[in-house]
Amino acid sequence: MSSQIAAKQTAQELSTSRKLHLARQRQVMLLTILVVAGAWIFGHVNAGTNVVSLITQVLPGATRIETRGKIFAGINAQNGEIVGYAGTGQAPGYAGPIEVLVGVNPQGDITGVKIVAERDSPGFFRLVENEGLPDQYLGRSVSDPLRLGDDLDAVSGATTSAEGVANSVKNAIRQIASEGLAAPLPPEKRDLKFGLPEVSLLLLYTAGYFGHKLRNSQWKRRIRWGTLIGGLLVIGFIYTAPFTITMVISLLTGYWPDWHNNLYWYLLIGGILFVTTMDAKNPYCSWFCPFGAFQECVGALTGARPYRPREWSDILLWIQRGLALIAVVIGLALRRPGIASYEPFATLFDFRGTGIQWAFLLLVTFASLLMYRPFCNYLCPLDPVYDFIAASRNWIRKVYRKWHSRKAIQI
Amino acid sequence: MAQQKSDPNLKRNFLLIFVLIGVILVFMTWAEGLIGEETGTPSYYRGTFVVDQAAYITLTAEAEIFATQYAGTPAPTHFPDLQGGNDQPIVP
Repeated sequence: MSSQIAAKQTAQELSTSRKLHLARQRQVMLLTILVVAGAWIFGHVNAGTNVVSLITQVLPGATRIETRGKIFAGINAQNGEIVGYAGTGQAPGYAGPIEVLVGVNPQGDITGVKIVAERDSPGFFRLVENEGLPDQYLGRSVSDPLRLGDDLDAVSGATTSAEGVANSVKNAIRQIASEGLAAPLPPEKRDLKFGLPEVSLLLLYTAGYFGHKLRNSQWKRRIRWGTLIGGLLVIGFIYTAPFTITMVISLLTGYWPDWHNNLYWYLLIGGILFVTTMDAKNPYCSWFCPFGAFQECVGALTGARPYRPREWSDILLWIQRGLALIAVVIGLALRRPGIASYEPFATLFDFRGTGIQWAFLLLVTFASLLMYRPFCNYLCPLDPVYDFIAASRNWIRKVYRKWHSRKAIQI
Repeated sequence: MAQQKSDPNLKRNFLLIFVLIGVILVFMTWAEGLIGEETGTPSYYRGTFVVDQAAYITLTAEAEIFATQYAGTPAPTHFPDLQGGNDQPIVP
Protein backbone atom coordinates (compact mmCIF):
# COMPACT_ATOMS: atom_id res chain seq x y z
CA MET A 1 0.00 0.00 0.00
CA SER A 2 2.77 2.37 1.02
CA SER A 3 4.66 1.52 -2.18
CA GLN A 4 1.56 2.43 -4.19
CA ILE A 5 1.31 5.79 -2.40
CA ALA A 6 5.01 6.41 -2.98
CA ALA A 7 4.63 5.58 -6.68
CA LYS A 8 1.65 7.92 -6.93
CA GLN A 9 3.61 10.68 -5.22
CA THR A 10 6.56 10.17 -7.58
CA ALA A 11 4.23 10.28 -10.59
CA GLN A 12 2.67 13.50 -9.28
CA GLU A 13 6.10 15.04 -8.68
CA LEU A 14 7.20 14.04 -12.19
CA SER A 15 4.06 15.52 -13.69
CA THR A 16 4.56 18.76 -11.72
CA SER A 17 8.21 19.02 -12.76
CA ARG A 18 7.24 18.31 -16.39
CA LYS A 19 4.61 21.03 -16.24
CA LEU A 20 7.14 23.44 -14.74
CA HIS A 21 9.64 22.54 -17.42
CA LEU A 22 7.06 23.13 -20.15
CA ALA A 23 6.00 26.45 -18.62
CA ARG A 24 9.64 27.59 -18.45
CA GLN A 25 10.24 26.43 -22.00
CA ARG A 26 7.29 28.49 -23.21
CA GLN A 27 8.47 31.55 -21.30
CA VAL A 28 11.86 31.24 -22.96
CA MET A 29 10.21 30.79 -26.36
CA LEU A 30 8.12 33.93 -25.88
CA LEU A 31 11.20 35.85 -24.75
CA THR A 32 13.09 34.61 -27.82
CA ILE A 33 10.25 35.74 -30.09
CA LEU A 34 10.31 39.17 -28.41
CA VAL A 35 14.09 39.52 -28.79
CA VAL A 36 13.97 38.42 -32.44
CA ALA A 37 11.05 40.78 -33.14
CA GLY A 38 12.97 43.61 -31.43
CA ALA A 39 16.02 42.96 -33.61
CA TRP A 40 13.80 42.86 -36.70
CA ILE A 41 12.18 46.21 -35.83
CA PHE A 42 15.56 47.76 -34.96
CA GLY A 43 16.95 46.69 -38.34
CA HIS A 44 13.90 48.00 -40.13
CA VAL A 45 13.83 51.37 -38.35
CA ASN A 46 17.52 51.97 -38.83
CA ALA A 47 17.23 51.31 -42.52
CA GLY A 48 18.21 54.05 -44.85
CA THR A 49 21.04 55.97 -46.34
CA ASN A 50 21.43 58.59 -48.98
CA VAL A 51 23.01 57.59 -52.26
CA VAL A 52 23.32 61.16 -53.51
CA SER A 53 26.74 61.58 -51.95
CA LEU A 54 28.02 58.58 -53.94
CA ILE A 55 26.85 59.75 -57.36
CA THR A 56 29.99 61.71 -58.24
CA GLN A 57 31.90 58.43 -57.86
CA VAL A 58 30.02 56.93 -60.81
CA LEU A 59 29.67 60.12 -62.85
CA PRO A 60 33.12 61.70 -63.17
CA GLY A 61 32.91 65.40 -63.94
CA ALA A 62 29.51 65.93 -62.36
CA THR A 63 29.53 68.78 -59.91
CA ARG A 64 25.82 69.21 -59.53
CA ILE A 65 23.21 66.51 -59.13
CA GLU A 66 19.54 66.81 -59.95
CA THR A 67 16.85 64.24 -59.47
CA ARG A 68 14.96 63.28 -62.63
CA GLY A 69 12.14 60.98 -61.63
CA LYS A 70 13.76 57.87 -60.20
CA ILE A 71 17.20 58.62 -61.57
CA PHE A 72 19.75 61.40 -61.18
CA ALA A 73 21.29 63.69 -63.74
CA GLY A 74 24.90 64.67 -63.22
CA ILE A 75 25.63 68.18 -64.44
CA ASN A 76 28.83 70.07 -64.88
CA ALA A 77 28.00 73.20 -62.88
CA GLN A 78 30.46 75.33 -64.79
CA ASN A 79 29.02 74.83 -68.30
CA GLY A 80 25.62 73.40 -67.41
CA GLU A 81 26.12 70.29 -69.57
CA ILE A 82 24.76 66.93 -68.55
CA VAL A 83 27.70 64.61 -68.06
CA GLY A 84 25.54 61.56 -67.46
CA TYR A 85 22.78 59.83 -65.55
CA ALA A 86 22.97 57.74 -62.41
CA GLY A 87 20.45 55.21 -61.22
CA THR A 88 20.08 52.56 -58.60
CA GLY A 89 19.27 48.89 -59.11
CA GLN A 90 18.47 46.04 -56.80
CA ALA A 91 18.47 42.26 -57.19
CA PRO A 92 18.70 39.27 -54.84
CA GLY A 93 22.17 38.06 -53.89
CA TYR A 94 23.11 35.08 -51.72
CA ALA A 95 21.79 36.46 -48.43
CA GLY A 96 19.66 39.40 -49.44
CA PRO A 97 19.33 42.12 -52.01
CA ILE A 98 22.40 43.64 -53.56
CA GLU A 99 22.05 47.30 -54.44
CA VAL A 100 24.19 49.16 -56.90
CA LEU A 101 24.55 52.66 -58.20
CA VAL A 102 25.37 52.92 -61.89
CA GLY A 103 26.51 55.92 -63.90
CA VAL A 104 25.96 56.18 -67.66
CA ASN A 105 27.07 59.00 -69.97
CA PRO A 106 24.67 60.53 -72.54
CA GLN A 107 26.19 58.29 -75.25
CA GLY A 108 25.05 55.23 -73.29
CA ASP A 109 28.45 54.09 -71.98
CA ILE A 110 28.80 52.98 -68.39
CA THR A 111 31.02 55.37 -66.44
CA GLY A 112 30.89 53.75 -63.03
CA VAL A 113 29.38 50.98 -60.92
CA LYS A 114 29.33 51.24 -57.15
CA ILE A 115 28.02 48.52 -54.87
CA VAL A 116 26.00 50.46 -52.35
CA ALA A 117 24.72 47.64 -50.16
CA GLU A 118 24.99 43.89 -49.90
CA ARG A 119 24.22 41.34 -47.21
CA ASP A 120 26.21 38.35 -48.38
CA SER A 121 28.84 36.49 -46.41
CA PRO A 122 31.98 38.64 -46.40
CA GLY A 123 34.07 35.73 -47.69
CA PHE A 124 31.86 35.29 -50.72
CA PHE A 125 31.41 38.93 -51.48
CA ARG A 126 35.09 39.70 -51.16
CA LEU A 127 35.60 37.43 -54.19
CA VAL A 128 33.25 39.59 -56.27
CA GLU A 129 35.18 42.70 -55.32
CA ASN A 130 38.61 41.08 -55.65
CA GLU A 131 37.77 39.78 -59.12
CA GLY A 132 36.90 43.38 -60.03
CA LEU A 133 33.40 42.65 -61.31
CA PRO A 134 32.21 46.30 -60.95
CA ASP A 135 35.22 47.49 -62.99
CA GLN A 136 34.37 45.13 -65.84
CA TYR A 137 31.41 47.34 -66.68
CA LEU A 138 33.44 50.49 -67.30
CA GLY A 139 33.20 51.65 -70.91
CA ARG A 140 30.57 49.04 -71.85
CA SER A 141 27.44 50.17 -73.64
CA VAL A 142 24.01 49.80 -72.04
CA SER A 143 22.95 47.86 -75.13
CA ASP A 144 25.62 45.17 -74.56
CA PRO A 145 24.38 41.78 -73.25
CA LEU A 146 26.27 42.29 -69.93
CA ARG A 147 25.88 38.64 -68.96
CA LEU A 148 28.21 36.70 -66.69
CA GLY A 149 30.13 34.06 -68.57
CA ASP A 150 29.27 35.82 -71.83
CA ASP A 151 30.74 39.30 -72.15
CA LEU A 152 31.55 39.51 -68.42
CA ASP A 153 33.90 37.17 -66.55
CA ALA A 154 32.07 34.94 -64.07
CA VAL A 155 33.22 34.83 -60.45
CA SER A 156 33.76 31.22 -59.48
CA GLY A 157 33.01 30.49 -55.84
CA ALA A 158 30.55 33.35 -55.51
CA THR A 159 28.17 32.69 -58.38
CA THR A 160 25.00 33.85 -56.61
CA SER A 161 26.59 37.06 -55.33
CA ALA A 162 28.01 37.84 -58.78
CA GLU A 163 24.62 37.14 -60.40
CA GLY A 164 23.08 39.49 -57.85
CA VAL A 165 25.50 42.25 -58.84
CA ALA A 166 24.95 41.63 -62.56
CA ASN A 167 21.16 41.67 -62.23
CA SER A 168 21.26 44.81 -60.05
CA VAL A 169 23.37 46.59 -62.66
CA LYS A 170 20.95 45.45 -65.38
CA ASN A 171 17.99 46.80 -63.42
CA ALA A 172 19.73 50.15 -62.89
CA ILE A 173 20.70 50.41 -66.55
CA ARG A 174 17.15 49.58 -67.61
CA GLN A 175 15.86 52.53 -65.61
CA ILE A 176 18.54 54.93 -66.85
CA ALA A 177 17.94 53.88 -70.46
CA SER A 178 14.23 54.48 -70.22
CA GLU A 179 14.20 57.64 -68.08
CA GLY A 180 17.49 59.32 -68.92
CA LEU A 181 18.49 58.23 -72.41
CA ALA A 182 14.90 57.85 -73.62
CA ALA A 183 15.88 54.54 -75.21
CA PRO A 184 14.14 51.75 -73.28
CA LEU A 185 15.76 48.32 -73.43
CA PRO A 186 13.70 45.30 -74.52
CA PRO A 187 12.39 43.15 -71.65
CA GLU A 188 14.63 40.29 -70.60
CA LYS A 189 13.47 36.69 -70.63
CA ARG A 190 13.92 34.86 -67.33
CA ASP A 191 14.21 31.08 -67.48
CA LEU A 192 13.53 28.76 -64.60
CA LYS A 193 16.76 27.17 -63.43
CA PHE A 194 16.12 23.52 -62.65
CA GLY A 195 19.13 21.30 -62.95
CA LEU A 196 21.30 18.73 -61.26
CA PRO A 197 21.55 20.48 -57.86
CA GLU A 198 17.76 20.54 -57.53
CA VAL A 199 17.38 16.94 -58.73
CA SER A 200 20.13 15.75 -56.32
CA LEU A 201 18.46 17.53 -53.44
CA LEU A 202 15.08 15.99 -54.18
CA LEU A 203 16.68 12.53 -54.41
CA LEU A 204 18.41 13.04 -51.05
CA TYR A 205 15.15 14.18 -49.48
CA THR A 206 13.32 11.16 -50.82
CA ALA A 207 16.02 8.74 -49.66
CA GLY A 208 16.19 10.43 -46.25
CA TYR A 209 12.43 10.55 -45.77
CA PHE A 210 11.82 6.90 -46.61
CA GLY A 211 15.12 5.76 -45.14
CA HIS A 212 14.34 6.99 -41.64
CA LYS A 213 11.05 5.09 -41.68
CA LEU A 214 12.75 1.75 -42.38
CA ARG A 215 12.55 -0.87 -39.65
CA ASN A 216 15.46 -2.95 -40.83
CA SER A 217 18.31 -1.29 -38.98
CA GLN A 218 20.98 -2.68 -41.28
CA TRP A 219 19.35 -1.22 -44.37
CA LYS A 220 18.56 1.98 -42.53
CA ARG A 221 22.24 2.33 -41.63
CA ARG A 222 23.35 1.62 -45.20
CA ILE A 223 20.92 4.09 -46.73
CA ARG A 224 21.89 6.69 -44.14
CA TRP A 225 25.56 6.35 -45.00
CA GLY A 226 24.62 6.56 -48.67
CA THR A 227 22.72 9.82 -48.22
CA LEU A 228 25.46 11.19 -45.95
CA ILE A 229 28.18 10.52 -48.51
CA GLY A 230 25.86 11.84 -51.25
CA GLY A 231 25.24 15.01 -49.25
CA LEU A 232 28.95 15.43 -48.52
CA LEU A 233 29.88 15.17 -52.19
CA VAL A 234 26.92 16.85 -53.90
CA ILE A 235 25.67 19.50 -51.44
CA GLY A 236 29.13 19.96 -49.97
CA PHE A 237 32.03 19.65 -52.36
CA ILE A 238 30.31 19.92 -55.77
CA TYR A 239 27.71 22.64 -55.24
CA THR A 240 28.75 24.08 -51.85
CA ALA A 241 25.16 24.82 -50.97
CA PRO A 242 24.47 23.51 -47.46
CA PHE A 243 21.74 24.78 -45.17
CA THR A 244 23.08 27.66 -43.08
CA ILE A 245 21.81 30.16 -40.51
CA THR A 246 22.12 32.77 -43.28
CA MET A 247 19.14 31.14 -45.03
CA VAL A 248 17.05 31.27 -41.84
CA ILE A 249 17.83 34.97 -41.35
CA SER A 250 17.16 35.73 -45.02
CA LEU A 251 13.81 34.03 -44.62
CA LEU A 252 12.98 36.16 -41.56
CA THR A 253 14.10 39.43 -43.11
CA GLY A 254 12.12 38.75 -46.27
CA TYR A 255 15.24 38.65 -48.43
CA TRP A 256 13.96 35.83 -50.56
CA PRO A 257 15.98 35.22 -53.71
CA ASP A 258 14.49 35.19 -57.18
CA TRP A 259 12.89 31.76 -57.48
CA HIS A 260 13.68 31.50 -61.18
CA ASN A 261 17.38 31.33 -60.44
CA ASN A 262 17.27 29.93 -56.92
CA LEU A 263 14.80 27.10 -56.87
CA TYR A 264 17.37 25.11 -54.88
CA TRP A 265 17.11 27.63 -52.01
CA TYR A 266 13.34 27.21 -51.86
CA LEU A 267 13.52 23.42 -52.08
CA LEU A 268 16.12 23.17 -49.33
CA ILE A 269 14.58 25.57 -46.84
CA GLY A 270 10.98 24.71 -47.78
CA GLY A 271 11.62 20.98 -47.51
CA ILE A 272 13.28 21.28 -44.10
CA LEU A 273 10.52 23.51 -42.72
CA PHE A 274 7.79 21.32 -44.18
CA VAL A 275 9.10 18.03 -42.81
CA THR A 276 10.05 19.54 -39.43
CA THR A 277 6.59 21.09 -39.06
CA MET A 278 4.57 18.14 -40.31
CA ASP A 279 6.60 15.25 -38.97
CA ALA A 280 8.54 16.87 -36.08
CA LYS A 281 11.60 15.20 -37.64
CA ASN A 282 14.69 16.92 -38.86
CA PRO A 283 15.36 15.32 -42.23
CA TYR A 284 18.53 17.25 -42.99
CA CYS A 285 20.99 17.01 -40.10
CA SER A 286 21.23 13.30 -39.54
CA TRP A 287 20.58 12.21 -43.12
CA PHE A 288 22.41 14.44 -45.53
CA CYS A 289 24.01 17.47 -43.89
CA PRO A 290 27.42 17.58 -45.61
CA PHE A 291 29.25 19.02 -42.61
CA GLY A 292 27.67 16.44 -40.31
CA ALA A 293 28.75 13.77 -42.79
CA PHE A 294 32.30 15.13 -42.74
CA GLN A 295 32.43 14.95 -38.94
CA GLU A 296 31.03 11.42 -38.98
CA CYS A 297 33.60 10.32 -41.57
CA VAL A 298 36.43 11.75 -39.44
CA GLY A 299 34.93 10.19 -36.33
CA ALA A 300 34.64 6.80 -38.07
CA LEU A 301 38.44 6.72 -38.31
CA THR A 302 38.77 6.53 -34.53
CA GLY A 303 35.33 5.16 -33.63
CA ALA A 304 34.29 8.45 -31.96
CA ARG A 305 31.14 8.10 -29.88
CA PRO A 306 28.54 10.62 -28.67
CA TYR A 307 29.53 12.33 -25.45
CA ARG A 308 27.52 14.69 -23.29
CA PRO A 309 28.36 14.97 -19.57
CA ARG A 310 25.08 15.10 -17.67
CA GLU A 311 26.19 17.80 -15.21
CA TRP A 312 27.13 20.13 -18.08
CA SER A 313 24.35 19.19 -20.44
CA ASP A 314 22.04 22.15 -19.72
CA ILE A 315 24.84 24.74 -19.77
CA LEU A 316 26.17 23.44 -23.07
CA LEU A 317 22.67 23.39 -24.53
CA TRP A 318 22.09 27.02 -23.55
CA ILE A 319 25.48 28.10 -24.90
CA GLN A 320 24.51 26.62 -28.27
CA ARG A 321 21.08 28.26 -28.15
CA GLY A 322 22.66 31.56 -27.10
CA LEU A 323 25.00 31.48 -30.10
CA ALA A 324 22.08 30.82 -32.44
CA LEU A 325 20.07 33.66 -30.93
CA ILE A 326 22.98 36.11 -31.15
CA ALA A 327 23.53 35.12 -34.79
CA VAL A 328 19.86 35.74 -35.62
CA VAL A 329 19.83 39.05 -33.71
CA ILE A 330 22.99 40.29 -35.48
CA GLY A 331 21.63 39.29 -38.87
CA LEU A 332 18.26 40.94 -38.30
CA ALA A 333 19.45 44.07 -36.52
CA LEU A 334 22.09 44.83 -39.15
CA ARG A 335 19.94 43.46 -41.96
CA ARG A 336 22.93 41.42 -43.04
CA PRO A 337 22.16 37.70 -42.94
CA GLY A 338 25.56 36.81 -44.36
CA ILE A 339 27.53 38.40 -41.56
CA ALA A 340 25.83 36.33 -38.84
CA SER A 341 26.91 32.99 -40.23
CA TYR A 342 29.86 31.38 -38.47
CA GLU A 343 29.61 27.82 -39.72
CA PRO A 344 32.92 26.77 -41.33
CA PHE A 345 31.12 25.20 -44.30
CA ALA A 346 32.65 27.31 -47.07
CA THR A 347 36.11 26.84 -45.56
CA LEU A 348 35.82 23.07 -45.89
CA PHE A 349 33.91 22.73 -49.14
CA ASP A 350 35.33 25.67 -51.03
CA PHE A 351 38.78 25.71 -49.37
CA ARG A 352 38.28 29.37 -48.68
CA GLY A 353 38.25 31.32 -45.46
CA THR A 354 40.07 33.62 -43.13
CA GLY A 355 42.63 32.48 -40.57
CA ILE A 356 39.96 32.35 -37.90
CA GLN A 357 37.71 30.18 -40.06
CA TRP A 358 40.55 27.77 -40.82
CA ALA A 359 41.38 27.57 -37.12
CA PHE A 360 37.73 26.82 -36.40
CA LEU A 361 37.65 24.07 -39.02
CA LEU A 362 40.83 22.50 -37.64
CA LEU A 363 39.40 22.59 -34.12
CA VAL A 364 36.20 20.86 -35.24
CA THR A 365 38.13 18.28 -37.28
CA PHE A 366 40.37 17.44 -34.34
CA ALA A 367 37.41 17.24 -31.96
CA SER A 368 35.58 14.97 -34.42
CA LEU A 369 38.33 12.40 -33.93
CA LEU A 370 37.44 12.21 -30.25
CA MET A 371 33.67 12.62 -30.16
CA TYR A 372 30.66 12.21 -32.39
CA ARG A 373 29.70 15.35 -34.36
CA PRO A 374 31.09 17.95 -31.92
CA PHE A 375 30.07 20.94 -34.03
CA CYS A 376 26.49 19.70 -34.55
CA ASN A 377 26.02 18.84 -30.89
CA TYR A 378 27.58 21.89 -29.26
CA LEU A 379 28.02 24.82 -31.64
CA CYS A 380 25.81 24.56 -34.73
CA PRO A 381 23.19 27.34 -34.74
CA LEU A 382 20.74 25.25 -36.76
CA ASP A 383 20.01 22.64 -34.11
CA PRO A 384 18.35 25.25 -31.80
CA VAL A 385 16.35 26.45 -34.81
CA TYR A 386 14.94 22.95 -35.34
CA ASP A 387 14.25 22.65 -31.60
CA PHE A 388 12.39 25.93 -31.69
CA ILE A 389 10.28 24.90 -34.68
CA ALA A 390 9.51 21.51 -33.15
CA ALA A 391 8.61 23.03 -29.74
CA SER A 392 6.42 25.69 -31.39
CA ARG A 393 4.71 23.00 -33.43
CA ASN A 394 3.97 20.93 -30.31
CA TRP A 395 2.72 23.98 -28.46
CA ILE A 396 0.41 25.04 -31.28
CA ARG A 397 -0.90 21.49 -31.62
CA LYS A 398 -1.58 21.30 -27.90
CA VAL A 399 -3.40 24.64 -27.87
CA TYR A 400 -5.40 23.59 -30.92
CA ARG A 401 -6.38 20.24 -29.36
CA LYS A 402 -7.42 21.93 -26.14
CA TRP A 403 -9.49 24.45 -28.04
CA HIS A 404 -10.98 21.72 -30.23
CA SER A 405 -11.94 19.51 -27.27
CA ARG A 406 -13.53 22.49 -25.46
CA LYS A 407 -15.53 23.27 -28.55
CA ALA A 408 -16.62 19.62 -28.81
CA ILE A 409 -17.77 19.62 -25.15
CA GLN A 410 -19.75 22.81 -25.71
CA ILE A 411 -21.51 21.23 -28.69
CA MET B 1 40.90 1.74 -11.66
CA ALA B 2 42.50 5.16 -11.28
CA GLN B 3 43.05 5.22 -15.02
CA GLN B 4 39.36 4.47 -15.62
CA LYS B 5 38.35 7.34 -13.31
CA SER B 6 40.57 9.93 -14.94
CA ASP B 7 39.23 9.25 -18.47
CA PRO B 8 35.79 10.87 -18.07
CA ASN B 9 37.38 13.97 -16.56
CA LEU B 10 39.84 14.21 -19.40
CA LYS B 11 37.07 13.86 -21.97
CA ARG B 12 34.87 16.37 -20.15
CA ASN B 13 37.72 18.87 -19.89
CA PHE B 14 38.49 18.42 -23.54
CA LEU B 15 34.85 19.02 -24.43
CA LEU B 16 34.71 22.18 -22.32
CA ILE B 17 37.93 23.48 -23.88
CA PHE B 18 36.54 22.69 -27.33
CA VAL B 19 33.34 24.62 -26.63
CA LEU B 20 35.24 27.53 -25.07
CA ILE B 21 37.66 27.90 -27.99
CA GLY B 22 34.76 27.39 -30.40
CA VAL B 23 32.75 30.20 -28.80
CA ILE B 24 35.79 32.51 -28.86
CA LEU B 25 36.32 31.75 -32.55
CA VAL B 26 32.64 32.37 -33.29
CA PHE B 27 32.82 35.82 -31.68
CA MET B 28 36.07 36.52 -33.55
CA THR B 29 34.36 35.53 -36.82
CA TRP B 30 31.53 37.96 -36.10
CA ALA B 31 33.95 40.72 -35.12
CA GLU B 32 35.99 40.13 -38.28
CA GLY B 33 32.88 40.35 -40.44
CA LEU B 34 31.64 43.49 -38.75
CA ILE B 35 34.98 45.30 -38.89
CA GLY B 36 35.61 44.21 -42.48
CA GLU B 37 32.27 45.68 -43.43
CA GLU B 38 33.40 49.19 -42.60
CA THR B 39 36.39 49.07 -44.89
CA GLY B 40 34.46 47.73 -47.84
CA THR B 41 31.42 49.12 -49.56
CA PRO B 42 28.71 50.47 -47.26
CA SER B 43 26.61 47.51 -46.26
CA TYR B 44 23.45 48.44 -44.52
CA TYR B 45 19.91 47.67 -45.36
CA ARG B 46 17.57 49.97 -47.09
CA GLY B 47 14.22 48.71 -48.25
CA THR B 48 14.37 51.24 -51.02
CA PHE B 49 16.92 53.81 -51.87
CA VAL B 50 16.31 56.84 -49.76
CA VAL B 51 16.67 60.15 -51.48
CA ASP B 52 17.10 63.10 -49.22
CA GLN B 53 14.14 65.32 -50.05
CA ALA B 54 16.08 68.37 -48.89
CA ALA B 55 18.55 67.58 -51.62
CA TYR B 56 16.09 67.84 -54.48
CA ILE B 57 18.64 69.91 -56.23
CA THR B 58 21.75 68.89 -54.46
CA LEU B 59 25.16 70.33 -54.82
CA THR B 60 28.19 68.18 -54.35
CA ALA B 61 30.95 69.33 -52.06
CA GLU B 62 32.95 70.33 -55.12
CA ALA B 63 30.13 72.45 -56.56
CA GLU B 64 29.23 73.94 -53.21
CA ILE B 65 32.33 76.14 -53.35
CA PHE B 66 30.99 77.86 -56.47
CA ALA B 67 27.51 78.12 -55.00
CA THR B 68 28.66 80.10 -52.00
CA GLN B 69 31.00 82.33 -53.98
CA TYR B 70 28.66 83.40 -56.75
CA ALA B 71 24.99 84.13 -56.96
CA GLY B 72 22.97 84.45 -60.11
CA THR B 73 24.11 84.61 -63.69
CA PRO B 74 27.33 86.51 -64.41
CA ALA B 75 26.66 89.87 -66.04
CA PRO B 76 28.97 92.32 -67.84
CA THR B 77 30.93 94.51 -65.52
CA HIS B 78 33.35 97.38 -65.70
CA PHE B 79 35.63 95.69 -63.20
CA PRO B 80 35.91 92.13 -64.33
CA ASP B 81 39.31 91.58 -62.74
CA LEU B 82 38.05 92.40 -59.29
CA GLN B 83 35.19 89.96 -59.35
CA GLY B 84 36.51 87.30 -61.63
CA GLY B 85 34.12 88.28 -64.42
CA ASN B 86 31.10 88.23 -62.15
CA ASP B 87 29.15 91.41 -61.53
CA GLN B 88 27.49 89.97 -58.45
CA PRO B 89 28.82 90.67 -54.96
CA ILE B 90 31.22 88.12 -53.60
CA VAL B 91 29.74 86.20 -50.68
CA PRO B 92 32.44 85.42 -48.14
